[in-house]
Amino acid sequence: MLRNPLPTLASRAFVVLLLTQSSVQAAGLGDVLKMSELPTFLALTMLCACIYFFIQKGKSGDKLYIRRIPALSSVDEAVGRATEMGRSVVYIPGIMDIDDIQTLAGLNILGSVARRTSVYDAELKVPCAKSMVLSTAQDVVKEAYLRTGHPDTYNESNINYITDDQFAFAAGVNGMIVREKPAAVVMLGTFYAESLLIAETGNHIGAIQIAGTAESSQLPFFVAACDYVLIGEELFAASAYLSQDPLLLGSLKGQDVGKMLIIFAILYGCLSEFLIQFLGFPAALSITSLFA
Amino acid sequence: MKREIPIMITFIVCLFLILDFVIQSEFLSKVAGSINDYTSIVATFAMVLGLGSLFSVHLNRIYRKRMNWVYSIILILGFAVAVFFATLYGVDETYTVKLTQQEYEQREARGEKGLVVEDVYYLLVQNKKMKVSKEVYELSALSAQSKATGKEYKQIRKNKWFDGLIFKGIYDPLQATMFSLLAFFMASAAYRAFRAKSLEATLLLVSAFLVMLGRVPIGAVVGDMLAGMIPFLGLEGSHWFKSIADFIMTVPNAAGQRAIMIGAALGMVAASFRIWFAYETEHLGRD
Repeated sequence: MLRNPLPTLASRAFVVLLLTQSSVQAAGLGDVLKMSELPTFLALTMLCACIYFFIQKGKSGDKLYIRRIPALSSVDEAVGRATEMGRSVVYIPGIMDIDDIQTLAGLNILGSVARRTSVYDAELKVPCAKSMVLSTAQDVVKEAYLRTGHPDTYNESNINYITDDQFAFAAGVNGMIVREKPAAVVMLGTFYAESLLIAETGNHIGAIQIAGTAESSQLPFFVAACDYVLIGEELFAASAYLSQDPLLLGSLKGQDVGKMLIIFAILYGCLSEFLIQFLGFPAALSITSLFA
Repeated sequence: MKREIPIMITFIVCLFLILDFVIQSEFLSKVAGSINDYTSIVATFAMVLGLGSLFSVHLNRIYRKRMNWVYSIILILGFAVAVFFATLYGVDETYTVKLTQQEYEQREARGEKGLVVEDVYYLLVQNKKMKVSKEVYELSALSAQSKATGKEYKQIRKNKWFDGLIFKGIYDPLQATMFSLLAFFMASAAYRAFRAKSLEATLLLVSAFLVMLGRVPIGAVVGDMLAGMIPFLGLEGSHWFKSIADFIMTVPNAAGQRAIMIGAALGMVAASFRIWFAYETEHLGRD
């Protein structure tokens, strides 16, 4: 995702982080603030500041580059295939509730997919595992159909609630996939053990499958069973990628600066431990003592 | 305003939760705790929406006699039966039936099980009998005329309808069946994925093979056989594949997983920031 590395900005952010923590301790704010959580809070603030900085850059009209993500480029292909075959697209926004950030990311992408299905006149089915996700998904899809000027093709019963239970939901979705034989299955959100059950069923009927989750334990199953996979942060970048909104692209750039910050911290930690363990440098150089 | 109100609520709630994370304040802790409680309450009420959608879809399917409409009848019947038994007997393994002394003695004479007698304690306050715990009864400064004791007769019975039949008899086996399908699906996915079509796929195949050998007893047997054929190595053959498998899992695999987790965590922070400050409002669905 990062085209132009920004080591200068990241290294400056690292130094500011160290200085801020020291100054908070020196100012005697230990009674008001939770000192154990302070390093995390400062790092988060630094990251959010970077994101905000690049959002403003995006707003000011700077062209921001984002690399091609094959899984997202194939959404159009998947919807087009469904239209040609006269079959539906099944979109599964995960099994967790609306308070999960991956579910929100999945629902954000659902809007883009719904706009495409409304334009191509393909049927979109969204089985939901939670009631609040159901009502949000209905709203998102309805708005997408309204925005593209096809409110008459919106069918509320296509976005339906199956059940809260994990394996009962998998059984319900598998039954839907086997009976209706959709041309495309899109799984974007939080998945656990049911990920392979659904992905293999979709593979068995020959559907084109696009999956994405931040659960690292489920990614191998998606990679083995699906055609395209969004790995970890690509799921959260998808809404920016599909919309090409400069503000959202700017936030991705800010995220990359955060990644550089973490890379610096890891390299510093490895180097400091090597120097302390093998060359006898003082233990105060260790990254853990700096943030203690 | 339809869009602005959810955005405002999101901003204020997130602000309180973040401030509670870093500031030591009883007020903020209480507010953060309440917010989590409200989420559970709203989710519980939202279940009504889900049930409404479920009934709407399946009743429509039955009415119009769509494909496989019989299964919709089974679903609605199953729902009704489960709700009926759960209402009558509760959802726990056992349920309690209150008895009179006479009923208790009759059942005891018949040799029924689960019969319990409990001492109960009352305080008489303003002509009202209040049931209290034994500790409160003993500590109470009221006079002896204001205190009373009694006995409560109960029978604890097994919830054979809901817990025994529906839960342990139907739900548990169905869940185990779905879970067991994973083993077969994993074998099918592995059969398709582990093919030497490219360099990466070959690496995947070789590492999967080594890890599998390191995790099964036959790996130790194969290791011993190879050690017999290559004696100059001087290592115990039965541990080769286990050591290789442990190395693969603890070094490259763990490194890759951690890298993905770091990236995902950064993505979550960025996505949360965008939602908090309303840069991303697609999920609100309204213009």
